[in-house]
Amino acid sequence: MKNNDNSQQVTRHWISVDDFENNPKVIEKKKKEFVEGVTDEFNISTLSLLSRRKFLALVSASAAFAATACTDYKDKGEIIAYNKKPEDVTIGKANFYASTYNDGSGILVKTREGRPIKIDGNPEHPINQGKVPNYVQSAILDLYNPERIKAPQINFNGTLIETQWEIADKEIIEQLNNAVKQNKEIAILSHPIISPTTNKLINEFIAKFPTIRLYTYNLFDDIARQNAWQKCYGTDFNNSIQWDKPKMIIALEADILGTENNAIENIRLFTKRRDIENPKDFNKLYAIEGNFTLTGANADVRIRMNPIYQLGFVLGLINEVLKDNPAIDYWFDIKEKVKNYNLTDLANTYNIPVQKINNLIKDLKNNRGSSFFYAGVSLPEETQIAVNLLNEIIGGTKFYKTDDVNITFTRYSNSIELKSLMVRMQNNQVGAVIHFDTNPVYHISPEYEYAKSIDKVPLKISLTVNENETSKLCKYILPINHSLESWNDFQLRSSYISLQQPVISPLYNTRQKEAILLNWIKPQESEKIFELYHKYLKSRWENEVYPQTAQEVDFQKFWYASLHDGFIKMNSQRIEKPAFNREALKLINITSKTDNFTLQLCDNLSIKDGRYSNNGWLQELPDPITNITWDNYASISPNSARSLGLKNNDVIKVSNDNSSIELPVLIQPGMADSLICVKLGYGRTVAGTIGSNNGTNANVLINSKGLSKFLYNDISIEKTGKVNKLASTQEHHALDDEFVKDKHLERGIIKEGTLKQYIGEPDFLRKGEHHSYLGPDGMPLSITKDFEYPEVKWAMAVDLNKCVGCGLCITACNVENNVPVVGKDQVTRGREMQWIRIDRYYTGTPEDPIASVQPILCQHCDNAPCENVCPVVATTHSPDGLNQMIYNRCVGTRYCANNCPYKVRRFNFYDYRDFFANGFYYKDSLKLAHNPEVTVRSRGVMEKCTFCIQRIMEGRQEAKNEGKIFNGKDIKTACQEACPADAIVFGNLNDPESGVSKLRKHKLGYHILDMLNVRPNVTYIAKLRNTNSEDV
Amino acid sequence: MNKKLLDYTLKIRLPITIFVIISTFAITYYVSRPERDGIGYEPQQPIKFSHRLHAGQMGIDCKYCHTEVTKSRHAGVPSASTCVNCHSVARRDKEEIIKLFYYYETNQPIPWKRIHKVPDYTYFNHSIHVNSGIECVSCHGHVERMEIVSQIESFTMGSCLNCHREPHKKVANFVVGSKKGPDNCYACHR
Amino acid sequence: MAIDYTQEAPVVEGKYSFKEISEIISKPMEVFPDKKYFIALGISLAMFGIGIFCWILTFVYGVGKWGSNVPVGWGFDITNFVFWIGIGHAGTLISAILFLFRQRWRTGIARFAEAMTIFAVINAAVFPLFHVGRPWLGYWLFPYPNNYELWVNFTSPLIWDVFAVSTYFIVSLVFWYIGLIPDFASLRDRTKNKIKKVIYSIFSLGWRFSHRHWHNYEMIYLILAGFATPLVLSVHTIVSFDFAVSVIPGWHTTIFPPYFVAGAVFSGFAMVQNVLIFIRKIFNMEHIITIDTLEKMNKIIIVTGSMVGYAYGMEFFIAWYSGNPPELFAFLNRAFGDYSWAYWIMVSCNVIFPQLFWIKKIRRHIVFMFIIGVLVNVGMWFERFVIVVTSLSRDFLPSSWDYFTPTLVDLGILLGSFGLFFTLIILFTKTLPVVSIAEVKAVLDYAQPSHHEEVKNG
Repeated sequence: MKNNDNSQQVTRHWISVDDFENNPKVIEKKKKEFVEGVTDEFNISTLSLLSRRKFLALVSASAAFAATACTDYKDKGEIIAYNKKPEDVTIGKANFYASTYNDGSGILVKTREGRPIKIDGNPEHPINQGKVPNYVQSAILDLYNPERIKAPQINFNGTLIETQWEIADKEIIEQLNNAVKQNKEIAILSHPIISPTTNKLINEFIAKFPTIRLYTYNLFDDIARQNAWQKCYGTDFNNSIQWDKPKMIIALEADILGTENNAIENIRLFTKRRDIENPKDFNKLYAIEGNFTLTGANADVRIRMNPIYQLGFVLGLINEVLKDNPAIDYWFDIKEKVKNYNLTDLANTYNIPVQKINNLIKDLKNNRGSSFFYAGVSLPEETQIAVNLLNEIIGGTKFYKTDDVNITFTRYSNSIELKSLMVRMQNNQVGAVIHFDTNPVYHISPEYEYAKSIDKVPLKISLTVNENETSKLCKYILPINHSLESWNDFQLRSSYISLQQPVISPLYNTRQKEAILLNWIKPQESEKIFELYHKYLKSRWENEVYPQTAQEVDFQKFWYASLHDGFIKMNSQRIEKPAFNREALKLINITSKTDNFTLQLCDNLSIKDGRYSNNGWLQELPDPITNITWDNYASISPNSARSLGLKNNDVIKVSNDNSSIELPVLIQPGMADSLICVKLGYGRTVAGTIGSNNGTNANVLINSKGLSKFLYNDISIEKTGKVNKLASTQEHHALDDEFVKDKHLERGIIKEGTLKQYIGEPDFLRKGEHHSYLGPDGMPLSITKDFEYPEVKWAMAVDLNKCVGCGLCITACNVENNVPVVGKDQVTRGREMQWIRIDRYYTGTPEDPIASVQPILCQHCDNAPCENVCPVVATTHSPDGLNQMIYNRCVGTRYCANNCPYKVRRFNFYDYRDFFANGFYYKDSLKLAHNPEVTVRSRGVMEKCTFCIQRIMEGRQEAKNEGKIFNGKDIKTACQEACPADAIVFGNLNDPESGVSKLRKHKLGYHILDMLNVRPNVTYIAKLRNTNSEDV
Repeated sequence: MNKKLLDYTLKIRLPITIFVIISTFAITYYVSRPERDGIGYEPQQPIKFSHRLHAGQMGIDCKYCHTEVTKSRHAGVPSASTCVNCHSVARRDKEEIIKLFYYYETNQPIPWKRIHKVPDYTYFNHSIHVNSGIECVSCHGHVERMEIVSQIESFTMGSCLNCHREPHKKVANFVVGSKKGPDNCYACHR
Repeated sequence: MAIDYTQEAPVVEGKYSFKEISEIISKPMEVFPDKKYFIALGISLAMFGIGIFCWILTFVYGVGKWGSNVPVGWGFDITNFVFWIGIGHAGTLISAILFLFRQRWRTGIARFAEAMTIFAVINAAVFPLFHVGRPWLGYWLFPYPNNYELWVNFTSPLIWDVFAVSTYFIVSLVFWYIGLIPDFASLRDRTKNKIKKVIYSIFSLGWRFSHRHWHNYEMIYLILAGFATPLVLSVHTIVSFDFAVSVIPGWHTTIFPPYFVAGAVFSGFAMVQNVLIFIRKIFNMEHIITIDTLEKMNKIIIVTGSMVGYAYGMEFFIAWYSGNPPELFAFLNRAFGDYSWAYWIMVSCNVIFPQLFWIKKIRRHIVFMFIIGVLVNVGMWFERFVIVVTSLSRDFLPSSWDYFTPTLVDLGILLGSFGLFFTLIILFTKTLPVVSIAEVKAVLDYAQPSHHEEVKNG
């Protein structure tokens, strides 16, 4: 322990001097302070030679290593050029083709290097005028859906064997002939046929196989309305309605702006009368409904009423309007009939605010001759009759369009026909059934026992794009072309026919469904079949359509012109509406009030009758009112929920006669009490990875005993105790919770006023504000120098008077910007990826709230809080006022999203493109669906709205190439293009003439969260409600 | 003795070793920069097409074959049919032309090796650059003097920005007073 | 027992010779660890292992494995980061500031506190680097020349964090190591094991206990103490900027810097106190790490605890006084909203329980002080949770409000961070002197003649 000792000593000598002096050891140590070895000379030569060499070796070695590691090039792959380039293709430039979707809407398809990547409305098309529904926009995903049936299949009891078209055709044709020989029926089940050529073809087909009977159905039919019309006027109801004409619209249980037929057109016409530039012209919308629909949300006055009371209500109204009507003596008998229907009594019995009803009557009297009543499809026949009568009395009938009527080639087969078909099937009188792109097993009410019946049919054929519940039961599953691969023509109105042309040749071994029938009529060799229907269509046009249109050009020219436009105008004859048949009144007998629950089955805005179930974009599109995705649910009013002791997400059992379903509850403020609403179209079982098993199949509740197909009395409900969490994109706060109530008003997120207010003092909105913090330029004072925008400054304005919240912008954005689908689980965790969302706020009581909708997207703030917190400069400000988000620089700290007051930034928590079964993007076919001008984001990066930078850059390039100065006039964002109300305006703020800079200065314009001084560039135009002040 | 060695190792050898390793790595790293940017990359092409012959001696304009360069983002590598325009008659007997016709008739695309590449999240736009009078040379070098084309400029973000920020230094025929290239992110990234 | 405050209590109780001191302190390094040690190590390693597993899950699949969503972008990750940085504060405060103030009682605990600082900072540094969506690009947070011609964004608080934390780590590491050199030397001289000797010699940098060595040592130690002192304040100030600089109600507050520093010292002391209680028992150092020392620490805990409590109150006052509705709502929401449970845990643990230390009995009672220390740490973790999560979950637009629910992976990572921390500590106790041999010797009663002794000796 020598060392240890001396360490002791060394420390010791600090202690005391005397102690230290008489200690010899210490003196000893003191002489040589350092222990030996430390101060010795090194004899380098003994050590170093070797080691020097070592170092040198090290140098060269590592140098060589590093060098070799770096000098080889990595291969950059190949450039695959065209072999023979089609001359109309410019690589990197899009081509546009006008066509028509299978539902008849005129579309404009954007293709890149021959593959469709976006569908917009055909701007010239008379109905669509550039706007198409969600499911048409999302059709891109259906086209490239990797789960399409790729070749004809034969079903050997359960196992599907791929086969040749030739074989399938041969077998089918001979079996069809047998059926005809044995004089057995051949049933074709189809949706209503809207194509004149297909109609002609079907007739020829019937001529060839005489025992054929055609049955047409729709899940969402308007049979009740049609029958009522028959009884009142003796004709089909085929008038379209001029929604822009009436001063006052009363929608009875009718979601005219949402799920009703061609809502696109309705919205456009309706919002024509919502132009803040001439407020005097505003129309007034009353919505009298049980469920809370989009129309209810946009109504100036919404009266909640259980649909079964509507008849009494309408009769009461008739009574009221007849009281002092000049035409009194003409309607005397009716006056007799309705005299004891009193609205005030009704209001009191069903606790409807009397005030509102009195105002309605007042308005009716003020707007005599300019009001229009419209009854929704779910209302029973007699209510429809009463409404027709009411329109007759108040002169609403003049708003039916008589010179341009809806064309119907087929009438819905009624229940008797269908019943008898089933019976014949049971008795082996049906030799074959052909499902003409239909899925009756899922759609038709269980009381027909369709699945059981067709079991008896020897030959079952399904012509379909994707497998479905019906095709599973069929022997032959024949894959058909998608809309974008097909030829056809469609006629919805007498005034025009629109043409469908393929924009891509069939991806798989599929055929057009019409071509298949043609081939059965007269077998051809297979290479001809691709052109078969094309020729057929062309010849029909040459012989039938072309002569009708007095053209001086020859047919070829005419044909190409029509293809180019996508439609041709027809001169349609005027059809006068026949007189009202008073006998119809006799049919009316009012149903008594019931204490039991009423069930209403309703349409949805995304997947419609379930045929679009396998489309992730649509499944994930939030319902505009409930903001729920991927699911259907039982909407129920807060009162009813309280009385049944139900909370959100509790699973209940809804039973109707002998069929019942289980589904989660959603407490929907503003719903009528003792009413349940369930969306149809969900609960598909055979619909592919995405479509299967989302929600519950409510079709099973449909039966013939209901008040109408969609309305049922005496429903029983029981709690199951199970819980099923609904995937909502917006939290459902308790409306009566004072703590979180009305925050959107308090914080100036939603600013609204009444029309009267605005006309009274146009700048009522700005009045309350104190501008002490504003500088001379009207902008909040700032210690920093402001950003300069020398050339262009982009900005957007959203007119909340026009925006109805339909959500078309969301889909358009998804398609344009390659927005991924994340799946139900992720939405439940609050990780949806949509760049633009529609916020919905409730004001007022939970029983009877007012709803406000508001599209929120990146506000591209001038002082963007997200920009200065990003550590890696992945989000910065551009000289044209955009808030740039650079995916490939982003490391994903999520700080920007945290610091965004509008929470518009979306984070890729996973690689959503291959991580989930329900977001299967890395399948090759789906890569084709991507927009090549937009980066596909990977895992771990932030993303957000870019104001469609790819479009801006393209416009800039065009301008530069043509040597013009770029002032961003005709740049349109995807959401703007899709908006049926043209509520979204985008443009250059530095150009005083641009619409957006006008709106920005408008008296009703406001910015969300102004007080933060982040200076957003999206201006919102405050909504004006055309209400009597006491309604608010 | 033992102690001496230890001290020596710690005081001299260890630091030197570390220093040597680090410095060598640093040097080689920066020396090899151009290679890692792919400068001098000169792959063999499926058909020995000579730019020197066509663009150089015969003086065919670049845009004659790279037709899209003025219209679109992409310069557009000519399709086989473009070559055939002339070669349907010219030099039918030459080996390379026979290869060309093999591709052309069997309807296969010619698998040209890619030489110049920017990452796919970078939306470089040829037309904007060419139309504002920037010569192909500025980025691709004197292709008309190359028998086999090789990369001579680096295509890193840095080299793009250098040129955008001070074009007069980089671009051969820069018109004084004409605008600089944008250097905001959205100019290239979306 | 009554303490005579007229003269300073001895730092080390009882009379120990230098040799004994050396023996006591270096004993853990010389005897082979017993079963208990390995059990403890095993447990902490298991916790650490779970953490590693959860991190791997996160790397493979993405941060989606955590509970965070769109309004609540940061959950446990940043909460843990701030928490551990906080723990790291006691060390430097004790070793640097108290050193400059000539607080002799610090010597017993300084070494250990510094070690904890380093371990805590290691722990903390993991989170900002790996919580990102693309961890393999984490190095982009450091400024270095690159061919993108891009620098980091110097206006971003996260970048300030990077600098603050790394500086803090390096300085405290150097400080710690410098302090260790003489001990390494004495260990080197004590040990007989060849390998140990080599290792110790390497680290002792040829220390020979010469006057010159001691002189340089004292000098550099003083300088480093001077360096470290401002860092104690700067680090957590800057961490607090992550929130204070933002616009989110509940984050956008000027009180954050002092409040965070106080909180950090608060939790740091609690943690040191907790662990020391075990150390002094296990390695019977009761006489070196005395009750007095612990009591002094508890006093600091009351002080800082009360400062934190004051901050809580003041936040509410300002929220009301500013007349800014979202601000006021944010704070009401903390106390009465969805996360009120977390808030009240925080208040009770940080403000109410530490007040018990006013009572001397409790202040000097091992069990009580331990329990309170634990509570303080729990409370401080929840403070960070409340700040990070509640503010985000209820921000400006009611439409985007959402609730944060941690996943198992979140919890696993939290567990793992504690595992890492304790693993490092346990290893530390057996490899390095947990108390500075040299310094303790220097504060022994008879180490230097003092006025009192003169008087006593007459």
